[in-house]
Amino acid sequence: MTDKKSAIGRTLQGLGDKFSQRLPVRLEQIEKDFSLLLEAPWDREVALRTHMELHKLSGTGGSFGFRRLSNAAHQCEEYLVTPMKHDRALTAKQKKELYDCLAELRAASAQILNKRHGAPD
Amino acid sequence: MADKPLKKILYVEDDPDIQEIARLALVDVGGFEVRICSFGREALDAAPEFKPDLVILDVMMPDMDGISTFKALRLLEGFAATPVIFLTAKVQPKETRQYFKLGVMDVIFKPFDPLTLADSIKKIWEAH
Repeated sequence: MTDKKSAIGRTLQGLGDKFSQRLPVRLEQIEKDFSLLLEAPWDREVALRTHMELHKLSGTGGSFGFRRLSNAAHQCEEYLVTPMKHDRALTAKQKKELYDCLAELRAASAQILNKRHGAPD
Repeated sequence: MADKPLKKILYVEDDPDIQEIARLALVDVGGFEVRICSFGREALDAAPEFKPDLVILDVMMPDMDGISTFKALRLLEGFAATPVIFLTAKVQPKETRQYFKLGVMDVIFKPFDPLTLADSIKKIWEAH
């Protein structure tokens, strides 16, 4: 039973490592999409794509135990709900919220990557 | 449902990472026979042949979301009453009520703990 538990733990750790490895690429895409949302005219398709990616990142990150990342992604996801509902350009307040949550998302990702590379928190 | 053992689960989820975690949680930890589909349409094709005891549907999926898949599943011969659990990120209570109104067995929230997901499902199954 202990062997099985250890094996499951190792598999989970391996999956978490794979997730961490892909994190920079995923974050880069989110940042690009955020730039489009924040600086270009409102694009519903970009908003939907970003919302979906943040949703996935929140769910997966949380299941790997990356709570800070999961919460940050969820917060960004929530901030996109209202503009998507109204389907119109972001207000200054909404832009500020998105800038802030993107900063938190970056920090949460950096924390995971630093841990992976053995750096202290 | 407690009188019928839960053995076969059809799990529908488009995210490859979550698919892998779910496989670990349901097969390695839970000991269930699991078929994983990436899309609603794929699940609708697979269901008649796989004959699951339970279907788990991610709510937010591209093209055909969990709710549309649920409704289409109900129209398949032999699936009018197959238990379905929705898997979703935290949502408003209003949305959860809507899911129950549709007729889902229960709702499990993401992120889930891969080490306890199977137990949660077993408890839900036994409670019905």
